[in-house]
Amino acid sequence: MFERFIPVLLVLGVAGAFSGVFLAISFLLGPRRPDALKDSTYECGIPARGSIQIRFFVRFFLVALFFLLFDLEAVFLYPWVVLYKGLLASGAGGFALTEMGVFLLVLLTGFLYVWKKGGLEWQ
Amino acid sequence: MNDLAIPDFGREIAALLPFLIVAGGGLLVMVTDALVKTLRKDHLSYLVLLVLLSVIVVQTTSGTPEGPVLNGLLLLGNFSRFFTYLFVVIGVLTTIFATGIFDRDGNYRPEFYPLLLFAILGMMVLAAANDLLTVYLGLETMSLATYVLAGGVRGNAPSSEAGFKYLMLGGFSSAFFLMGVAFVYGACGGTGFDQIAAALHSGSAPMPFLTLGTGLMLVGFGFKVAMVPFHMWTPDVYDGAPAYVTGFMATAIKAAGFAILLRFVLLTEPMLAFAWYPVLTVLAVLTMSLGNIVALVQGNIKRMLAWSSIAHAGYLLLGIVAILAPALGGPEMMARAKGIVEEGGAALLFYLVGYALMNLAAFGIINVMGTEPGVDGDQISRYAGLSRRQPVAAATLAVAMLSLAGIPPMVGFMAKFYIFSVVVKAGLIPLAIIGVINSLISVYYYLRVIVVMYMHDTAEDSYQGTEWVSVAAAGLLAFLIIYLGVMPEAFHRGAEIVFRQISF
Repeated sequence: MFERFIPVLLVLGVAGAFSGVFLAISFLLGPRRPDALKDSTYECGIPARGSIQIRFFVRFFLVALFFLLFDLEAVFLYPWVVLYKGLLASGAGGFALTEMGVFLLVLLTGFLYVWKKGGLEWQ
Repeated sequence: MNDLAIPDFGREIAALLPFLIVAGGGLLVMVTDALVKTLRKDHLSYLVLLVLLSVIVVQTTSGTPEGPVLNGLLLLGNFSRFFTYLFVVIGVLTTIFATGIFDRDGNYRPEFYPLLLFAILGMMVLAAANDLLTVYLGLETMSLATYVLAGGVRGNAPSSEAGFKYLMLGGFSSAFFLMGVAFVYGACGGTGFDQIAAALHSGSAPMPFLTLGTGLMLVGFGFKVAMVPFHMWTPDVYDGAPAYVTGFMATAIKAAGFAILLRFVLLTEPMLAFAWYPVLTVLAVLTMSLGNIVALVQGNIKRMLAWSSIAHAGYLLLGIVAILAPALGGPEMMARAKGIVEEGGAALLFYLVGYALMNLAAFGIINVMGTEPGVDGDQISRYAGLSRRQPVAAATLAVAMLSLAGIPPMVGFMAKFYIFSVVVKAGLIPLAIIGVINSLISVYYYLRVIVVMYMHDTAEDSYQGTEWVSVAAAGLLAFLIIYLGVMPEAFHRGAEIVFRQISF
């Protein structure tokens, strides 16, 4: 049963070999003339300033988590939409619609809680 | 591809009503807390009690359908119903204990209530699970809620430590469990218990994968029930979490863990008994002995009860070992096997209930003894002279301690008696002797609490705290402990009937 995975392994091996070879070539053949500017941190061409070890506002993590949570849950709608036509045809449209309605209701409850508890306020 | 069977709505909803009430109740409590600004502190607790009591009423009055529901993901019957009752009753008592504390120390945490309901929902799903994925779903619903409950006291370092430790180690154990599920799925070609049983009976499943998979799953279960060597989180978490949460964890999570362990052992018994019998025997002995010996030197009653809960997990594992034993014995053993399996299962269920009663009684008292807000009454030495200051609280704690030590006429004695007698019937006399010796060792540290309460004089720093609702609830439990210890027969027979339904 593992034979089916041989192509995947091959692609993995070839990709690894290519990256290794190119890195090695540029390391061996490339000229090296370092100076202060070249050694500095590359930040999209903008001069770097300050440390990256700064503190993030804790709200940032909270909002990021909320985003992740609700975004992921909303993604569940897509497979449902794709299957819905087939479900309608097989007479299970009402069932599928109720299921999704309940799911969204639970989602909405969570959203309401976050909102009313002040989780979305940036203060 | 599209072969999703459309279920019979009426039957499914009627069968799932207890689950739906708890889930909907949790959401309702959450929204009420967020939207209603004029709530008094105890309003949410009434709502939670209403939800839990309606579960009991619905489950008792309506003849809920039995058998598999949701395409076989859940299996409803006496077993799941029994555990739903147990979890709901533990939930009611935990709510009462917690509300008393919220009233007293001004450290009100409304998110406790919905989390408690969601944890109970997870446990109910776990006890009714009929598919490894449902097991995982229940395990995580229960665990995620309890991580937050354990670390719920904001700004309290031990509580945060407890929550974080439990989260990290719990995450690891979940990963182990999932890896095990993957191997079992690979070996059996399905995650449903029926499919696994069929694959095991046909002998088509490759043994190495199966042993590896079930071993990994055992790690996950072992973590939840605090089995040595997966017990290291227990003392710190039990000590750091507030006492009402610790009482909930020590009773409900252990019951849920053993419920699913029992079902899992029965499911895999015919094929895997020879692999897990020696392992579980050694672990049971280690769990009992380590728990009892380390508990001897604890000066903190919550840590002592944590180690004692490890020891009790060991006694419960003895029951599981006894269930596994007949599958290995010769033909003479096989003839008696069914009887031993049934008795072993009934003994385990009885033990879980008895253990829940005595532990909740103990934590109910510890909960209210603390003198300053946010601090539990956890130093054993500060219980000095409690029998004179608060005779009811002291008597309740004494009954709980005697019962935990297994002294008649408490329920703890009968529970141990049933377990050890099954172990003897299964022919494991050395194990029974080790169990009894362990039980004797434990008498020392349980009685020490009683000695301090009844024979030491009140000192300056002795606990004064009191809160009559919690003490009354714990006192009621003490009454039940004695009642079930004196008249265990009816209940034990009930446990046998409950169990008979799930023995495959």
